[in-house]
Amino acid sequence: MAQPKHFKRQPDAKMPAKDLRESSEVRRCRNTLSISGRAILVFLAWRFVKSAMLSTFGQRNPQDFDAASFEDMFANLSYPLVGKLDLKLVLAIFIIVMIYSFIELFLCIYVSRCALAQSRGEDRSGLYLLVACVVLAIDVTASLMVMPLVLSISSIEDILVSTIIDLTSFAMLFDLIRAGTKLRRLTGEGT
Amino acid sequence: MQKDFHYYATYCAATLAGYAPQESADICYCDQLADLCSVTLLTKLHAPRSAATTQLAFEMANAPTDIIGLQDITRIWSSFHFLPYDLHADPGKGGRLYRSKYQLICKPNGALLKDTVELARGKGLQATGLAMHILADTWAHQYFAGTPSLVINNTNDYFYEIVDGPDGPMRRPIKFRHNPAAKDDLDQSVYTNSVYQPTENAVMNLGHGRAGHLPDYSFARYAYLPAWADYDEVVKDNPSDYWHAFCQMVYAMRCLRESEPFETHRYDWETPEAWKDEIWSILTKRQLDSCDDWEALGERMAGERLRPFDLDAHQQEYLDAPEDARDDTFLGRFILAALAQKSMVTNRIFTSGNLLAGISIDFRKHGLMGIKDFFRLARQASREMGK
Repeated sequence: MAQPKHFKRQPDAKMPAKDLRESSEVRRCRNTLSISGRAILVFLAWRFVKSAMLSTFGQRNPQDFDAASFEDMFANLSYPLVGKLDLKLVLAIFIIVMIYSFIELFLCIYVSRCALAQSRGEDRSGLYLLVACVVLAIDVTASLMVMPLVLSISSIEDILVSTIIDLTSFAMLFDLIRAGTKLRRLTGEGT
Repeated sequence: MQKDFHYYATYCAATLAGYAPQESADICYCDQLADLCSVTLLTKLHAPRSAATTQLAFEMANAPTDIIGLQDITRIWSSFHFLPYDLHADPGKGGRLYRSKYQLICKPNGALLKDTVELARGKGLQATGLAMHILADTWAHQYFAGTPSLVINNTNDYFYEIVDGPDGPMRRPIKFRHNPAAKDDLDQSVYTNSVYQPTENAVMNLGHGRAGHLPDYSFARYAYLPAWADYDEVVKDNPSDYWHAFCQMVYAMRCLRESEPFETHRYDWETPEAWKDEIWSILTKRQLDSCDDWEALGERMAGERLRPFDLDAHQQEYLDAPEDARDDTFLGRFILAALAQKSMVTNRIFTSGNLLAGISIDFRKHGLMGIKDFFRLARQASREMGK
């Protein structure tokens, strides 16, 4: 009877230590991309819902909200801009915020899908990493810009929770960019 | 490992080690009994419950996972099924608790294996059978720990079965499901494993639950990422490991029978050589259960067919024996061996500075402190000294 074929045992002395380390690093990066790619969608959903609710309800509880018409909706807002600016301008700001949110939604979905694909070993261009950098930069900048407004209208609990979640989402984006870049370097993609 | 190896293969190994058929039957009976001697069975027998060598599924479901419960679980599984390899291993990362769990990882040829085999010397066939169970499991269950731990025993979807393809060995992704009622599908590499639970000390994270029955299939070759390995791949070659276990069992039993000292990393390759092709064909045959094949081989080796395993076989003898004579019955000797093994392993773990198996107390130094069941060991030791 033929002898069974030899199967590599762990750790294998024949495999150079450097190759062993790189293989485990590749697996680590792919795992990070998989987790970060999914996490981005979760945090994106959070930011999208937060933006929509803040723009629509302001600081009022949704169950207390009672709007008979679209103008009433904005007239009832305890939004600090109402009363200071023209209602049409407030509406325009709201629309711009929602448009940006949708754009960010699609960009993050693109980044997430590319990250998940690369975590499965599929080839992807580095464009998604560039997009991730842009999204991260815009998110951080926007958070810093609205921070004074948020501090003036929100309670301390809201500020803390929102800040922690935002920081976590930034960390996940940064982790994704780092893992994606390292993975491309280790596997030689894009060279 | 399963009954096919613990019962029938051990019968073959004992025969090759020179034991008579009846002696081999007693040894392999106790080998298999280690997978069935639960608190439920011991309660039925009015036997010391601390001698439990396993926990049944419903016992695990009801097992508390507070610190006392975890220590109880660890004592049983580390002593009989996941014998720690190196109680002083250094993982190079993590705090004290992680290091304690890492040090319980099972691998063959550890220092505790030598202690286990030597503990069985002169204690009868029952102790030999128990020691062989523990020895065999160190090969099958390596890289897992006998304590509930997510960070040690968890696996992920990076799990590939290495099968023979048209162009040589190929990797086929393993699909796990959580249906214990369904049989594993060997053709599609679909296996049952335990449900993922993110809690560190959940009982689902005990031993090789996250890898399903794969460690217990002699034909299985697979690659996966253990949680403790920091993304390093582990390739498990069960046919080779089971062959090593078989030859080491022959060597260990020969040492016990012929009063030779047992050393780790030594095997009896010569005695089974004449049967190697047949044994390899059984080990590499893709089937869920190899009992029939091993049974037929055992009959040809020993010239006598091994009776089917009967859990009730020796119970009446134990129940009918007077209280002071129960230790001399068949089950009584197995119970003493189990108590001694658990006591030894718990003591080794405790003295290494690891509290996961609880506290170990020497009765001879501290009098009546400790678990009453283990008084039997002190009485047995006194009887042996008196002889």
